[in-house]
Amino acid sequence: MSDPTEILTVSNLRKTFTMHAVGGRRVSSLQGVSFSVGVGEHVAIAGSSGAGKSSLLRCVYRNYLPDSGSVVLHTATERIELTELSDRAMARLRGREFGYVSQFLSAPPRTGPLQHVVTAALRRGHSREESRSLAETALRRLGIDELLWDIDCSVLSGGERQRVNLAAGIVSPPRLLLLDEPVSALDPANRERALEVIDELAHRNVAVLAVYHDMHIIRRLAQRVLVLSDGSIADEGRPEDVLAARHAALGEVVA
Amino acid sequence: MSTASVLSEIDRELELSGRPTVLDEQAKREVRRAMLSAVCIPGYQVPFGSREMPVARGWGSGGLQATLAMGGSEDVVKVIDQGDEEGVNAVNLRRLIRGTLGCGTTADTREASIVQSRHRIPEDRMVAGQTIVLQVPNSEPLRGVEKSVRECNRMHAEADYSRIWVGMYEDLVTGGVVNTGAGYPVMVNDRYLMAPSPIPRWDVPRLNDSDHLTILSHGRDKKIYAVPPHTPVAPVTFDDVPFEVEFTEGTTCGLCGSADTFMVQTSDGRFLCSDVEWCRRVRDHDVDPAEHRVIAPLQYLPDAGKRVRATAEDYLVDPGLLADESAGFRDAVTTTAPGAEWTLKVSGLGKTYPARRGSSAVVAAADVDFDVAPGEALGIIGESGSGKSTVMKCIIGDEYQAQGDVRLAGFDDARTNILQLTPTERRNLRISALSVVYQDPAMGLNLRISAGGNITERLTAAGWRNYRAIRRRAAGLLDRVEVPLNRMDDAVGQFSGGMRQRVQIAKALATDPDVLLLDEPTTGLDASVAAGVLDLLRELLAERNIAVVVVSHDFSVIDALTDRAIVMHRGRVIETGLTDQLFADPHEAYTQRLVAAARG
Amino acid sequence: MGYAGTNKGGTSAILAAEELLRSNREAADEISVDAVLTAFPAIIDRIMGEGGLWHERTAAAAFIQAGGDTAEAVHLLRAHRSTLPRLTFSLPIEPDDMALCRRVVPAHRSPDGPQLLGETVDYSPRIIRRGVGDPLGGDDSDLVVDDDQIGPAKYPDRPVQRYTRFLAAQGLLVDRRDESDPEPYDLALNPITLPAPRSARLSAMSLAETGALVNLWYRGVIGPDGHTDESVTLGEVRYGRLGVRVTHPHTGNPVQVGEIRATECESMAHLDERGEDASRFDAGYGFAMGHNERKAIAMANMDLAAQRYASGPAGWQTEQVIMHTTDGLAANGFLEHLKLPHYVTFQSMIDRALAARAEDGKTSQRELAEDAAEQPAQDAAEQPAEDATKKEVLA
Repeated sequence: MSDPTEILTVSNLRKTFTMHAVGGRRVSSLQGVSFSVGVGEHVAIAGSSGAGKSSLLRCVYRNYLPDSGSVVLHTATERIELTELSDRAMARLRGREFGYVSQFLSAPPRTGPLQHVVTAALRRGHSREESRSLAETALRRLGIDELLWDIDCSVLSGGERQRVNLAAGIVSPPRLLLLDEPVSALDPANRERALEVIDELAHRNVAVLAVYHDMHIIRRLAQRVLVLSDGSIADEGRPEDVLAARHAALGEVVA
Repeated sequence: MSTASVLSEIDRELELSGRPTVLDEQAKREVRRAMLSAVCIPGYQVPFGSREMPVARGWGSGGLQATLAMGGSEDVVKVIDQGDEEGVNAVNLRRLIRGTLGCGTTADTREASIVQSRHRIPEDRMVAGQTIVLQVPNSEPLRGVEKSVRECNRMHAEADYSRIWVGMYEDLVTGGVVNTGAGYPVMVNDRYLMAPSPIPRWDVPRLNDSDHLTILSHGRDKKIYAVPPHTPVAPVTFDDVPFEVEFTEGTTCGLCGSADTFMVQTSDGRFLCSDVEWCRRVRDHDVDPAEHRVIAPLQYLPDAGKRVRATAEDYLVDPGLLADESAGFRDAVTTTAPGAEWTLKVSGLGKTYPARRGSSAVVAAADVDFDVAPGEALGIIGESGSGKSTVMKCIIGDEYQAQGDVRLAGFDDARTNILQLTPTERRNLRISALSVVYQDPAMGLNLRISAGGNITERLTAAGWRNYRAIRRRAAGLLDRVEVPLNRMDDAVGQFSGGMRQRVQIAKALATDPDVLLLDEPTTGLDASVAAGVLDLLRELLAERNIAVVVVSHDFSVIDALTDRAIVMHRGRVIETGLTDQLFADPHEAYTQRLVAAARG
Repeated sequence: MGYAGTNKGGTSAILAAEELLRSNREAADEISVDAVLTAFPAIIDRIMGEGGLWHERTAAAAFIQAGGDTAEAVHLLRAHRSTLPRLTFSLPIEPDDMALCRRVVPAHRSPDGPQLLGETVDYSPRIIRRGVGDPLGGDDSDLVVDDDQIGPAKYPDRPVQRYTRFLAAQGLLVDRRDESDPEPYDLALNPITLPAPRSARLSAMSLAETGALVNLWYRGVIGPDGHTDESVTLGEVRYGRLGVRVTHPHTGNPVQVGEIRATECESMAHLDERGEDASRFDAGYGFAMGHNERKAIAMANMDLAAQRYASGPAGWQTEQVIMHTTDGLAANGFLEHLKLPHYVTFQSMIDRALAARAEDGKTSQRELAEDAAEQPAQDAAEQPAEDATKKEVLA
C-alpha cells in the first residue's frame, strides 16, 4: 500500500561491482541501506569519499543496477517497485516522475543550455512553447547569461555547466529530485543563487534527496540527514543533532 | 475425331492447295492459345513457342505468327508499316500473308478483318470485330530501368512499377518534359505495365476502351500480349502532368490538308499524313471529318502552361514555405499491438549459416528477444561479427530463413510472424511499415538519380501520383534533413558521404514508417560529418513518435540516440539495460571491455 | 600415333592429316576462283573485311583452301598480308563520293536522294527454294502497285546529303570532331593501347569478326550488362563503290589505283540520359569493306556507345571490349590453342587437387578442435584415434 506521506522508500539496498578486467575483483559499495523520504521532505546524504553517497543516488535512479533490496517510488496514484520495473517503464518514469541532477552535466554533444533544459521540460509533459518559456525562466533564475543559451554546453565553464544541469533538474520539477553535489563547482554568488532555488523546491512540495559535501548547506537546507559510512547508514536524524554527534567521523568536511 | 487428326487433315488440305506452309497447324494452335491467354490477362506478356519465320527476327516475325495463326482464307488483311502500305516491309509481309493464308488484302481499313501494323494504328476508327496485330520490337517496358530479366518479372508480378515513375520524375526535373518518344509505357486494366510497341504517343489514347481487339506480338522474345476491347489503357504519367502527343505548331498535311493526323516530315520540310490510305481518302472526301476529330487525341496536344516548369517552386528558394510539409510529419499516432505497448517485437530470433566448403557453419544470431515501443529507441551494440547486423537484416528482410518470431503492430494487428511472409510481402512492408538506413548509402539509394528522385521512389511505391505534391514532400524532407534544396535535383552520386546519408534518412522517413532501423548510420563518416548526422537523427527521433532500433558498434552513437540497449556477443544477447546504466554499470566482462574502449 | 605425335616430331602425322584433307576434297569437282567469286560474293566480302586485305581472287583462293571455313580463310588472308611490303599509303577516301549500289534511310520517309533497295534479301521470304519460281507461288501484280517509280531523272547525279548532316543543320547533332586524332591509327602496324583514339576503335571494329560485333551489340541490349540499347535509329545504310587513290611517286598528283566496295552506316541516339544534352542526338559510324551491312550497323552502334559514355566507366568498358575482344583471329586462335598439349600444366593442377584432398581431412579436424575449444569437455580424447584411422586409409 502506498504510504501517502512518503515519496521514496528504500529497503536493504545492496550493490557490489565486479571488475572483470582485474580478475573479477569484487568491490562492495552499498551493504544494505534502508531509509525513506517523505513527500516534500529535503533529505541530505553525508559521508566521506567512497562511503557510497553517489552510488546510492545512482542505484535509486537505476544508473547503477542494485544487487538486491527494494526501491519504492510513491507517485500520486501508485506504489512503484523500481527494482522490478522494466527498462522501458523506468526510462519513461525518469525525468517525468523523478529527476536526477548528476555531479557532472551530461548534455548530449553539441546541444546548448536552452535546448538541454527545454528537452527536460518536454519530458515532463509540457508543450514546446511552455517548455521554452519554463526553460528560459529556469536559466535566468540560475544566472546563465542569455548569450550562452545556444552555445555548445561542452565549452561552458564547470560552474556554468553545473547550473545548466541544475536548471534542467528544477524546470517544472517532478515530486522527487535526486541531487548529487549540485553546487560543488560554484563560486559564492552563484552558489547562493542555486541554494535559494533548491530551497524553494520545498515550498513547491518537491522532495529532495541530495548529496552535499558541505555541512553548512546540509544544516541550512535539509530537514534530515543520512550519514553513510562504508556503504551503510551510520547515523540518521535532524542535521543539527546528527552533525554534532558525528563531528569526529566527518572530520574534514565539517571544517 | 482427335484434335491432332483434325490438324493433320488441315495440313494435308493446305498441301493440296499448293500454298506454301509457313507455320504448321500445331504451331498455329499454340500461338492461338497464347493469344487467348493474353486476352484473359490484358497487358500480361504471355510466353509462347515463337517459331522462326521467313522474315528475320525483328522484322515482324511475331506479328506474322499472330496473323497467320488467327487468319484464314476468308479474312481480308491490311498490312502497313509506319502507316504506309507501300513500304517495302509492308509489301513483303502482305505477300507472305496472302501467299500462305490465301486471304484477301486491302488498303481500306474499313474492309479489313485483320490489320497487321508496324509503328502505327490506322487513323480511321477501328470497330468491333476487327483485330489489329502490332509488331513488337521490345516487349519489356521495364528494360530501360532494369536490365535483369528476373527482376523485371518480379516487378510485374508485384505490380512494383515505382521505378518507371522515378524515371519520369527524373525526366521532368532535368528537362521539364518526359523524354519517352514512341512506345510510351501504358498501364493496362490498372494492373500491368505494357510497352504498346513503338506506336507514336499520338496513337496511345486509341488503345483505351477500344471497340477492337489489339494483339501485340514479339517473335524474338517469344511473348504475346493483348488489349481486349473496352479495356482501360492509360499512359503512365503523374496526375498533374498531362500526357502529350506529338505536335508541331501550324502543321497541316501537304497533300490532304488535315491538321488532326499524325504527320511525318519530308526532305523539303513539308509534313504529310503518315497514314497514306487515310490521306488519300481525305482527298477523295471518303471520310467523316467530324468523327475523326472525336477519335483524334486533340485533348493531349502539348500545353506549355500545364507543363511542370509553368509552376513556380518558390519553396526551393524559401524553404520557410514548406512549414506545412514538416507539420505533416507524424506526431503521435504510431500503432501498438493490441493490449501491448510495442510496435515491433522480436522473439527467439536466430540465423544460422550452414557449413559449406570454405566456410564452416556459423550461428550468426540466436535467441534474440526485444521489443520497441512508439517514441522509443532501442540500441543493439556489439563488435563486428557479434550478430547485431544479422538481426537487423532478418527484421528488414535482407536475410531470409531466419528462426524465431518477428511481429509488427502495424501489420495484421501483430497476428502474423513476418518471418513467415513471402519475399513479396516482406518487400511491401518496406514501403511504409518498416524503413532502414544503411551504413552504406549505396544500399538504400540509387546514386545515379537525384535526391528528390530517390525520395520519389518511396513515395510512388506508396501510391503518390501527383508530381507537385511529390516535389513538395521531397523538398520538405530534404530541407528537414538539411540538404540544400538547390541540390535536390542533383544525382546523389555527386554528394558527399554525409549528404548521402541525410538523403537516405529523408527517404527512410518519407512514408512515415512505424519502425525505423538504423544500421551503423554514422560509421565511415568523418568525425565532424558523423556528428552532424547524429545530431539530426537525435532531433528527428525526438520530434517523431516512431519506434527505432539503432545498431552500432559505437557506444557514443547508442548513447546519443537510445534510452535502452542490448549488448550482443557471438550472436547472443548477453546484457540488456538502460543505456546509461550499461555504460555506468556494465556487468558482463565483454560489456566492460566495450565501455573501457569507448571511454578511450 | 595421333595427338601425342605432334610434340614428338610427328611430322608424318601432320603430313598425313594434310593428305586426308586433300584426298577428301579431290572427290569433288574442281571449284574455280571465278565460280566462287560469282556464287559466294557475301562470304568473300566478309573474309576480305575481317582479313584486312582487299583482293577478291586471293580471298576466294583462301576460301577454297579453307573448305568454306570463314575463320580459317580470314587467317590465311591475314597471314598472306604479312608477306606483303607496304609500298604506299592511299589518300583518304571521301565516303560521299561512293557510287551507290544501295542506300536505306530508316530515320526518314523521303530523305535527300533515293531510298535505294538495291541487292538484298531483306524482303525475300526465307523459304528454301526448289526451282526458280516465286516460292509463294502467287502472282503479285494485284498487290499495291508502286506509283512512285525511281529513275535517273528524279535524282540528279550528285552526292546525296547524309541524314546526320540534315540533323546537324538543324542543330540537333552533337559535334564529335576530335582535333587530337588527325591521323587514322593503323592497327596493322601498331599495338593496341588504351585509352584508344576513336580512329583506333573504328579500325579495330572494321577488322573485327562480324558475329563478334553483332553479338556485342545484342548482348548490351538484352543481356544483364553492356551499354547499348535498342533505341538507336539508323540515319544511313549505304553500299557502293569507292575509288582508291595514291599520290604518284613521280608527279606528286593523286592517281586512282583501284576500286573497293564498302558498306557504311550511321546510327543515331537521343541523348536523353542524366547529364546529357537532351536537345541533341549523337551519331556513331560504321564502315566495312565489301558488302557487310550487319557489321557496319553493329560497328556504328558500338561506336555510338563508346563515344557517348567515353568519359566514364561504361565507356572504358566498352572501349576495352571493342579493342581487345572483337578480333576473330585472336579469339579463334586462342580458343583452338586449347587443343594443344597441356599435360604438363594439367599435371601441376592434379598435384594441387591431390594436395587439397589430403588436406580435407585435416580441415575438418581443425573445425573439431575449434569446437572443442569452445566446449573444453567435449571429446578431446577422440582426435588421436581418428588420426590413426586416417593413416590406415591412406596406407
